[in-house]
Amino acid sequence: MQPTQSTKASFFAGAGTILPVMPGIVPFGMLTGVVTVSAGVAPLKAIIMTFFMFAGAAQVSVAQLMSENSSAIVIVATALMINLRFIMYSASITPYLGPMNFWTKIYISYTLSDQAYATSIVEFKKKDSPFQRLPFFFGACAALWSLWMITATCGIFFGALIPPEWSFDFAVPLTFLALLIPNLNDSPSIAASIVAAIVAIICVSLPYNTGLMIGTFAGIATGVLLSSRKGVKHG
Amino acid sequence: MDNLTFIITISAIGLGTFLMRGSFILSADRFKLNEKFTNILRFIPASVLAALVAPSFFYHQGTVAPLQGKERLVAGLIALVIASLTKNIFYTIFSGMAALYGLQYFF
Repeated sequence: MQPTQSTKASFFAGAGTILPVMPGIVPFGMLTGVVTVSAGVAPLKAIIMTFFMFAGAAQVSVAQLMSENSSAIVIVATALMINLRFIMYSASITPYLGPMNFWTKIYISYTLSDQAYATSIVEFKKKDSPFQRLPFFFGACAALWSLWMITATCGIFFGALIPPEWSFDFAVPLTFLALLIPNLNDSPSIAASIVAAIVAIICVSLPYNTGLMIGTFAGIATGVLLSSRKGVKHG
Repeated sequence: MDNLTFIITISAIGLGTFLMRGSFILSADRFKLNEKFTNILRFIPASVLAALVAPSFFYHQGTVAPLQGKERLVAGLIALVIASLTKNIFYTIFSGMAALYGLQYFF
């Protein structure tokens, strides 16, 4: 079916998709800002991180690793591993968007997010969607980016007001724990996380937090091995 | 971490993330995802997040004695149960923080 809505209407429909995901984004943006500062990152640096990365889980991991004096290489590698999922989104959404000019490509390559992907792909898979896809996605990305920047910046200022005696740095691993659980949806994933956890604990005294990398690779290897042995098919 | 290292680190992450987000958008059809690579990608979140969490429950400020300073381990396990039951980020954090405050107060 040909889109019947104008470019402008499609853009605003896309921007409107943030409404249902707001209950997730607003507190998570705030939390990301708060824990970044609680982990010991100066507020100005936390704002720079928010702008440069535009990714919550990766930002929280960077803040924690910086507080543990990890090496820059381990920090970069960890953040990029957490963000590898964006390759999957990029592969999945690009065929729907059609031809784009250079600046649109740059803009989407900066603002593509979990929620913009998740809400847009639902709309794009509908057979009777009346919206033009590129403006729709453009709108979703723009709205989510703006909302994220506002909430994370608010979180950074709140975080700066929380005294260190409150042990609020403990919210950082708790955040990861909450993000981890939805990924444990089959037995190879559960095994991967258990192996990664045990190896990371054993290797904790290795310099520059390289135990994190070793644990992660051990977990991935476990998952791949178990899933290939079982011959489980995944869509 | 000094300011220069900080800027270089954050720029490298920002650029790398940009290139991953743009991988298919920027390269048009020159790049394909094969099944093997997708299967590796699938296990990254479970592995990296578990490896980030586990040591911070076991070790805090160098406390290695088996029964002392383990409030964070107990609080973490309580939060793990709540996380599995509710799958909600805020219940997880509230329960973990509440458990930590409780344990620090009583022990």
